[in-house]
Amino acid sequence: MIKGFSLLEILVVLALMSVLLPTIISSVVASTRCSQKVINNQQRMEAIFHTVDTIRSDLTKCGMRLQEASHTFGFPMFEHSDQSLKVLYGVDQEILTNDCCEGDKGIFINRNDFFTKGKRVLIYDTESGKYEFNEIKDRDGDYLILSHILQNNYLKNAVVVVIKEVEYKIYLKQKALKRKVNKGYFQPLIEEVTDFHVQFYPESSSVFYRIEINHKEQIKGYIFLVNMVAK
Amino acid sequence: MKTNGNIIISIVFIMLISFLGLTLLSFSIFHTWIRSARTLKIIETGRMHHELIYYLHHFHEKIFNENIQHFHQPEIDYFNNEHFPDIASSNDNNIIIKNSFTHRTLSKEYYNKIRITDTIIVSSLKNNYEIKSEVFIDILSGQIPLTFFPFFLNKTIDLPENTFMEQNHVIDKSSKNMVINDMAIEFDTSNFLLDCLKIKGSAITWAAMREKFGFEVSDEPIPEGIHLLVEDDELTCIFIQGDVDRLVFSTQENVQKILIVINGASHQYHYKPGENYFTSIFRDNQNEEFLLFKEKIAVNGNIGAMEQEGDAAFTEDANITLFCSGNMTIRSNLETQNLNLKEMKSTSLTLVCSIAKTLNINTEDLTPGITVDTKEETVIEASIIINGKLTNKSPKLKIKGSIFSNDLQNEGVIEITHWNSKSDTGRFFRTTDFKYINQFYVNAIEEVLK
Repeated sequence: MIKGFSLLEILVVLALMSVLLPTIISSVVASTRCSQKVINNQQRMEAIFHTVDTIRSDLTKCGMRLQEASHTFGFPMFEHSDQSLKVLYGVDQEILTNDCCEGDKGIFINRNDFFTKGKRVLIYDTESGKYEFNEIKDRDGDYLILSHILQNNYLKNAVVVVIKEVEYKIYLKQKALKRKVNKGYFQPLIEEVTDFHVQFYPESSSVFYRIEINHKEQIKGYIFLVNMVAK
Repeated sequence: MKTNGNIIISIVFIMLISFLGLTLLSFSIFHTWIRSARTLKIIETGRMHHELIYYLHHFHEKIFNENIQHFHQPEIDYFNNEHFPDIASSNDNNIIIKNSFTHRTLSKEYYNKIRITDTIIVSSLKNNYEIKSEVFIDILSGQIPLTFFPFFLNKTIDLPENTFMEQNHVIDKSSKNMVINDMAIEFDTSNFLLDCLKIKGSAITWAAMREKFGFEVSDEPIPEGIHLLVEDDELTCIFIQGDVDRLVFSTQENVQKILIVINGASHQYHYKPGENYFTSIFRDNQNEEFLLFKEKIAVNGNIGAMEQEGDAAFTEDANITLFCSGNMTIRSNLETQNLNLKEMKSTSLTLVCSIAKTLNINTEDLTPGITVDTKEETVIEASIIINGKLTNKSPKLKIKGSIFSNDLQNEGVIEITHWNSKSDTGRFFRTTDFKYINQFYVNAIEEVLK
């Protein structure tokens, strides 16, 4: 009566296992590495796509709702250095529903959900040639309480724009391209970035950008600033 | 011999490999879908952007070529879905373009400023996004100040406007319409002079002027020469009776200098715009006074040569209104100082050239008009209103400001960039009932979810 494996059987199994197990383990490790590589590549591609889409979206909006003010008062909507860029655009706009005076703490506009606490606003009147930047401290129905008292008088129908300022900057030590919105902190957008270059062509209102990843890959393209040309 | 152990190992091995394979496959498929959807979205959105830009050009061209004088209330009668119906793109039937119009009116003293907002939505059957565009069209309606037009020729012509401009080499650089229209104009020289000289009444007369300048009251003209009208620490106006040989403008830092040469004698005036500082120099006499000069100069005669000395004719803060009842010849550039290299938007000089009927009874010697007589390219930064003829003898005349005239003789090229006037001359010089598309702004183009 056989109650267990014979020594020979165990030896055979061990011998087989010693041959098979490394093969199995190595193929599992190889396929895991392969899948990880594919996943990493795809994630990097996603990050690149996300970065390109974000830059494209911000640049396309650059100057939006600010063309009239910028044309009248001459403040820049697009600024750049070799390794950074800053864009300014309006998210939404309203008009003053009442006259307001220098020294006032707030303004009246029609109810609009974009005008919320903490948002930066531009108030301007092309007729009087006056403008100022301010911030919404609080909101009480149609009344916006401002962080700073008004510096100028504005008549009813003067324009109020909620503005958004977006800044991109490369941090070479951290090899990261970071993005900042309004007064927030710079948040990483894409990593392993070794170069970021921006060139503005005012004649054609277009921007050339180039992002270099790990000294190997380059993402580059031209973006037409549609919100800065259409006059 | 039993082989159960081997089968289990094999099954586990196969399952593990299959699981890894499937995970990788589904991951790849998932990402391929995302990538493909993204690519499709970008292509479709790009196509919609392209259609919108094309439509905006077409829209701009259409409204600027339309004669809006035909519409009683263009904001209602013209800017509506009857004239701008929903359309499918000619290149892609999946793309639909829709307009919706709103407007608001700001009432000014003599005219209305009507802002029409056209919200253009471009949508595609293949995309979850729409492109939304907001266009502002500003229409001026009513009695519009003449300096609001880059170029207004008040004359009847037989040619289409564009052909006339091309033949006469008049080029607009401000994307605004130039106007050729023979119409009645509110050209109130008399009240303009009354305002300059702070005289009350309905028409300017020699008697009123003699009284103002302290002469014996009669209907005779005041003596020839320069007369300074000083009232309450203010120099209201420099009035010159008779012809001026030379009128030279120059600057020294923030001091505005004016040299007036009459019959060979030079009179210099230095002042700081907006400040109580005025100096007059005649021969060796220098007279410094605590006066605020209101920057109004009126010449009842011809000006032989108007010139700039140095790099600039006017300081940045200057706002000079110069009236001339005869012919004025400009012989050099007339530019405003721009020390901070700012983008300039308004003129420091407003030139008005017109006969004052009540003062100039014998008008044989006076033909109101401005002649630009230079040999090279000339830049004039001024708002020019002539109840007469503009003659350009310069090969290239760049006007930064505006021109209104009744006639034009151009021997070179005139290039106009519209700048507003700092002076409010609209009270005296304006159109009768007229409509004008003043501005066209694409305020916003953005992608929005349907």
